[in-house]
Amino acid sequence: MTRPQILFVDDEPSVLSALRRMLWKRREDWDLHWATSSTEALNHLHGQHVDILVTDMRMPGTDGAALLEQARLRYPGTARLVLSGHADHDSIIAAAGPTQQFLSKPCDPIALENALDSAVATIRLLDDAQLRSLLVDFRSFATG
Amino acid sequence: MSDMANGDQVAHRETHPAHPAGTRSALEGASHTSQASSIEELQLEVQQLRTRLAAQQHVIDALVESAERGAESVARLGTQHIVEQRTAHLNYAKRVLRSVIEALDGALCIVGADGTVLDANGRWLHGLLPDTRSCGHAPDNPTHHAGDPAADRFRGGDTATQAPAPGTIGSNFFAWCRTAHGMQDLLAEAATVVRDIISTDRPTTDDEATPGTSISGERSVKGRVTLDGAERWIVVRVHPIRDHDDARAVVSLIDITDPMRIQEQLRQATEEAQRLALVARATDSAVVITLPGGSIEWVNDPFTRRTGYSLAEAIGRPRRDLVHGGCQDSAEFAAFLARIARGEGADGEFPMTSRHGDRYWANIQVRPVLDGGKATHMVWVEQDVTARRQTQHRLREEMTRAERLATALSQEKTLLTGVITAIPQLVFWKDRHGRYLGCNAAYLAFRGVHSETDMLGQDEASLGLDDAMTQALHDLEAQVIASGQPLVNRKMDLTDNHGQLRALLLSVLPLAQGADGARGVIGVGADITHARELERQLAQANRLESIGQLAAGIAHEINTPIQYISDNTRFVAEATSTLLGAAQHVAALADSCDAGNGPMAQAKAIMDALELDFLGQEIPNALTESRDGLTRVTEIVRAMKDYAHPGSGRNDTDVNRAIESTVQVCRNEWKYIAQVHLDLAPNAGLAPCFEGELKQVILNMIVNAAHAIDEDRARPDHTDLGNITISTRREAEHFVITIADDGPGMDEKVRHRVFDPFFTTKQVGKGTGQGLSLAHAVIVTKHHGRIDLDTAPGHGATFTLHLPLNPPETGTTPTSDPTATESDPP
Repeated sequence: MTRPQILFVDDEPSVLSALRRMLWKRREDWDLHWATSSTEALNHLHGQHVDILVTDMRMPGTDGAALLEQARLRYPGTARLVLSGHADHDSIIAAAGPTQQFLSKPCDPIALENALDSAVATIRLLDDAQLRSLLVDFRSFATG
Repeated sequence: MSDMANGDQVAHRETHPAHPAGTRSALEGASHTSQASSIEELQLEVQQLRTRLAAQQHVIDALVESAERGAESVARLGTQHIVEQRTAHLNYAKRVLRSVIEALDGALCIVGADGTVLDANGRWLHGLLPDTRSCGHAPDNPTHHAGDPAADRFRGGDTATQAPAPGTIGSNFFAWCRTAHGMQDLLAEAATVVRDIISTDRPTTDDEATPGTSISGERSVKGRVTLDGAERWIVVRVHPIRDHDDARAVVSLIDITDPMRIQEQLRQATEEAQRLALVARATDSAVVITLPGGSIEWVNDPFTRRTGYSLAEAIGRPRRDLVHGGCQDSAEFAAFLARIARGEGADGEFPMTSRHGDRYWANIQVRPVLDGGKATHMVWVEQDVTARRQTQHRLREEMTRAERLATALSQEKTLLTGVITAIPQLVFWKDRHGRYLGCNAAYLAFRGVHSETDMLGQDEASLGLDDAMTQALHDLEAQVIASGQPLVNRKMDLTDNHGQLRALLLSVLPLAQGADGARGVIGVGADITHARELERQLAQANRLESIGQLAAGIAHEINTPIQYISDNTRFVAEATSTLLGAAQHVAALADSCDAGNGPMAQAKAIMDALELDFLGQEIPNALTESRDGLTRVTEIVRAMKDYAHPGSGRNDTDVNRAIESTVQVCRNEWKYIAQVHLDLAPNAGLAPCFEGELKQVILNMIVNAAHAIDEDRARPDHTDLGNITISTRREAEHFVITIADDGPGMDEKVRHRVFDPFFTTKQVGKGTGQGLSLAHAVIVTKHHGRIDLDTAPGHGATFTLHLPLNPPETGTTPTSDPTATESDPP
């Protein structure tokens, strides 16, 4: 089985590089990809399959909510997670539809790893295209 | 002769009246009427007397003449028969003459050429005039004369020898004249006339030259005499006798006192009547004389002018017939006429219309002319009072209008007074000298003056209140009076008479602009204490909200670097751990083999220099502590975000968490002063709260407690950290929060004012005095809860907040008294 493809999106490069360092130890488990804007992320999605999309909410240009919504419509097989410093009400509501899990910055690395692991597990479990596309209609579901 | 006399009388009677009988009698009144009739009668008598006297004179003359002729014819015819016949005739004539003379009213005597009284009638002898007797000139023997005095008299000759008493037959007339008491002057004059006549053979034809001479030669003197103390008018007539023996003059004395008096009265009455007639004619009032029945006898010109009826047209017609315009048919007018018909006086005012249609108001006064108690005529005086009536009408209308205006004005005033009194703004007005002209209830209450009457007429100095308002008003009013320009909305902070600090928005306006500036001032003050408090709270809320928004933004900005700092720290920790493990392994390998001087020995030396034991212990510690620090920062940021979370409306709130985040946020305020102990009931659950405001209250309470402890710690013997304990518990009806400090506590005086706005015991610049008053407003007013304060000097202070779990539906009440220390029970 190929390694899960995970795409991180954040307009702050330091966040991405820190994540890269922190998750380096899991380099055998996952293939990690990085994008510093929604546009870059969408290009990446267009170019290759991504299993898990992890994005910030507030970004210049297309923000996280719009990216998630497009991803939901165009790449329903991709699991969607939010990692954002904006714990305010409006952001959560905006992300509630297209996301499947909301992680608040600063996020404990273990919690992030757990979230990614469970997402991968879910994907594995639902490795049936038809079932996954059905599941997309449930706009969100708890992953613990 | 009697026929002649009667004819004379008739002639006099007809020509006598000077005025139309009706007019005169009416104007003269009853007394004049009777006087006139008696004057008429007396004058008639006088006239009769004179006529009779003249007639008698003719008779005498005729007798004398015939006697003379008889004597001649006797001599000529010479017949005895004729003589006898003539003598009989003569005797008859003498008897007739005698009886006529005796019948006369006046006293009469015949004076001879030598002044002897030849003959006299009974009145002369018996005394027509009282004093002729009283003076002792009474006849000696009346019976003597009663026999045949005429015969004696005409025998003549013998009279001179008898020396009779003065005045009697045979006495000297002139002597009598001198002695008649009370009449000397008049008789002296009469004597002159008699002498004059006696001395003249024939009566003079130039009679006009002598006063009192009549055509027949008779002369008279008239004079006032005093008889028996009464004044009498006597006329003495002297009639010359010609060719008749010795007789020369007939002297008669007639008492004309009564006729004279009546004549005088008549003259006065006539004058009066003429005057009255003049008035009646000349007056502007219409004058009507009617019979009691209403039939008109006379009207004057003003009547004609007013009514249009001339005298000729009016005479004989009832007054009512000349009234037009409908009033003549009114019951009032009928009653008026009825009174007149009864001969009573009557007054009335009636609307009339003239013959030509002019409408006017007549004031009619009717008075009876009484004669012997009976009304013979009615005199109507009718005045045109149209102008007066119109004036009165206008006056009444004016008065009605004035009354209406006054009523309206009074209502207006009542309304205005009510409005001014009712409005909560302070209102007063003063004259230009600063004396109060009035003020409303709010102003009185503010100044602490009992009633407006204590205020009126006083100025600030005489009022003597000496409060903060006094000086403020003094300056403002002086400016307004001087400039005439209003000063609007001056903000001032004053202490009212209860010692409360009040914020006023005061306007002073000129009362009325005169040529010499303002005549006074009007002051209007709005108590904006409450409004300003709300404003301040709003401003604070706005500030807190913006701080909250800022904090949320900052939290986000901080969260992102924390994210990668913590990620990197973790990576470094893990990587270091791996590196250290590898290094220690390499060091152990180096130790286990005999390195010698080869590369291994160098590696061993490098490893030793690393002091791997120290690094292996301290690098993880350093990273762990860094991560702890990051955790702290994360917590603070989260607390800030929580605290700044505005909350909207009253929502079920996790009060414990709210307290935790608040304590965290204000940590800097207390951490060097006190320890904060949280004793939060784990199962306290949620309570319906305005979360933002509640957190603000808790923050204020913690900061307040910390400041109190700090103040206490400033003293040398109190250097330990204080304690602030916050606990929560859930009761049946309330969520209870207690915030206790072990600071200095408060005395009773401070305790009572601790919730007052602006009250503070802190040093200047350290507090606004708003914290606890805001707490009161939020808990009591907004949450319908309660704040209890348990404190005593030296025993700290414990605030207990009771938040109702089942609050009333309304979120807030519009007003409340922020000075109350106890709230209403829920």
